[in-house]
Amino acid sequence: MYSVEVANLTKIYGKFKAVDNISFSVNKGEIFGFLGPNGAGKSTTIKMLCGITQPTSGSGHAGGFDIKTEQKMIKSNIGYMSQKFSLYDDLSVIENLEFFGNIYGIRNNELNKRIDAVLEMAEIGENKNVMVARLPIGIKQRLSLGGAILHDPSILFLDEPTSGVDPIMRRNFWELIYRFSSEGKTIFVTTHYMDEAEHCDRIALIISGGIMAIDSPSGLKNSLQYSVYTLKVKDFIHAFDIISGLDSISEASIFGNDIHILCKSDMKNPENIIKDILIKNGFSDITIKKIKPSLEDVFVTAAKAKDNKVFL
Amino acid sequence: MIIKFSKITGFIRKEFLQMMRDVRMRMVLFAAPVIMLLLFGYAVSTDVKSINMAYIDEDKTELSRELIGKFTSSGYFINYAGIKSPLEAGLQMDSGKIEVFLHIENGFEKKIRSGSVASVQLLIDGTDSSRASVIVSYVNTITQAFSYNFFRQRVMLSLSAINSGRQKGGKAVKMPQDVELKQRVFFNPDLSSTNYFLPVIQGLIICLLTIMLTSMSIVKERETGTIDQIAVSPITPWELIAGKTIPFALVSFIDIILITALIVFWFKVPFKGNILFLMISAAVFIISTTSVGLFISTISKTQQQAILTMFFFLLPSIMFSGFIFPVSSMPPAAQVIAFVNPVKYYVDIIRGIFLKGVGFDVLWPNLTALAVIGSVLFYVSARRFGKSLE
Repeated sequence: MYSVEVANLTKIYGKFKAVDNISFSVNKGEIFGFLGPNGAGKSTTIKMLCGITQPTSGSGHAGGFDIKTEQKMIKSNIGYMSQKFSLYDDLSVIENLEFFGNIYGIRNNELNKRIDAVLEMAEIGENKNVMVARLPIGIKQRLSLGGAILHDPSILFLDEPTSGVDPIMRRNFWELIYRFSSEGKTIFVTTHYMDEAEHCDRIALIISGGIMAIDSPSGLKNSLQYSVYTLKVKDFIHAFDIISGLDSISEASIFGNDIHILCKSDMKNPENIIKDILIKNGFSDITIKKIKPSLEDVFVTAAKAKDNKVFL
Repeated sequence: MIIKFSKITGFIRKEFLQMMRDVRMRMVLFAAPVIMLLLFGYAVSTDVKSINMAYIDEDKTELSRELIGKFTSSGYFINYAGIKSPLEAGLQMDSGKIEVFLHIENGFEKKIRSGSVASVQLLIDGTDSSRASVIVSYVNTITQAFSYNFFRQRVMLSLSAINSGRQKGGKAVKMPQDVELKQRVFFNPDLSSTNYFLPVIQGLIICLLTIMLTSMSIVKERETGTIDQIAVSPITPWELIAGKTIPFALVSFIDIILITALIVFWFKVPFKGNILFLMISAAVFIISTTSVGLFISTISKTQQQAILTMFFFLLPSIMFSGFIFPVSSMPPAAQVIAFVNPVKYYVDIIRGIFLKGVGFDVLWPNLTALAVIGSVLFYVSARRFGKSLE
């Protein structure tokens, strides 16, 4: 049985279709990513899964509870960590945890046990009476995660969980997530960061309320119908101007000192075509290499192809 | 039910912790009421006293001096000396240095004694119309008393002349008696404006506090995003509303007790009614004010917006409550506003309890109106609030 499943889920606000007929299933213990631009419908989908918003049409369940009729049961069963960390700056660490435990109905000895576990996980130690405002952001992040799992939910929703956090803290954080995943918790992550999306077992690409693709990160990259090349040349900015004007090229972007070029996979011999055009324009010392596509390439082409329902 | 209650206690504890830790909040909770009490207790007074009066006596006779003396010894008028001409008096009145100018013409006493009418000119500054009308009534009282006494003396003299010139055995003409008006002011015998204003201050303060605290604390949670964390928890909107309103209602109750104690023991405002009835009425009133706070939180995105919106509601509520201006002298359109204004009913209840000593038997219509308005406001605001969590 799936941990979370939705079918034909739609949400319309007035005239605006925020979520358009999406369907997916998530296994228990899976780390499932939502990747998409702002306003794509990620937050709205999550709100429906958390039991905060009623769908306009469609159906779904989270942890076995119907998202339309059993919202209170869903809320007791899911944990949520918001982008802003949702901690009270003017309360201490332990006051925050006591409050959250309280509203989930955990009391007394059970609450103390769970709080100790969270404090250990977040490596807060003696700082439990410190005001949250004074904590460094890495510890706040772990504390926020701790608050979300206080009631031992089976499903976790993490909304941009590592925004503003340095790479080392991020790595520590993901180790915690992997641990939860292996314990059988299903984890939803929404993110803009491509490297973060790489941590997920599967990713759903959401654009303008619709799902463009669902696959593992490598699956998405492999099924991309574009080839990616990297171009090294002197005076690359001038070269970029020329190349981005070409019709045969789908997409060109500057990566540091190189140019990344996306071409349709069925295009014949793009390296030579590009080289010829550059030589004609007086460039020399040109190196073109085919590289593996990144998730960013996948993301960008999906965003551009949003008018086409299928692009893979 | 047990679970429900314990969730709310967690909330109450959190709100109290946050309230007490915020320095600005402590200032508002304790300094604001004290300042308002000091202002209205000492600085503001609508009692009409210390009226600066200048006079020019061109007659300089016994009678004119007697008339002037009636004014200056009344205790209400203060003699402003040094005015030499009516023009100067006019200038001083323009600049507000005097409010009354008395001008007695040459020949005042002569005219009266010879049987003609003597006129006296009195100029009164009418800028503050309420104050001026009270001054006019003082002036009328003094001059009429003066005229009356004068005539009374004349009649007595004439009567004794008649009686002494009478034949023996005839009836003596008696001095007619007059109607004596015995005035008694119920409820506020000193007509002290302090007694009129201070009890109502208590109502205004809890109104201000509950609206502000409720709306700002909710908006702050929205600003910081902590309300999302609460929205995804199994806590029901009712539990959330209770958690957000009960702490501030409690604080307001404590304030009521403190302020009432201050008003009664320090400012010596009488308290003739039932304290339990006051508490019950306050509780019903707080339902209305916390509902307004809830409502404001649903239409404000920032804390500054919340405060500005609060004043937008508060100012008309105070104006149309009978706090300063009586509702009965307002035009019908304004009275309609007062009719649905919970502050108006609470003001009547407070004044009734403090000054008149009446209770439920007389004030039940007010209490009922408060309950009805409170329920409607609460229902509308709670619904809006529930929707805003989605």
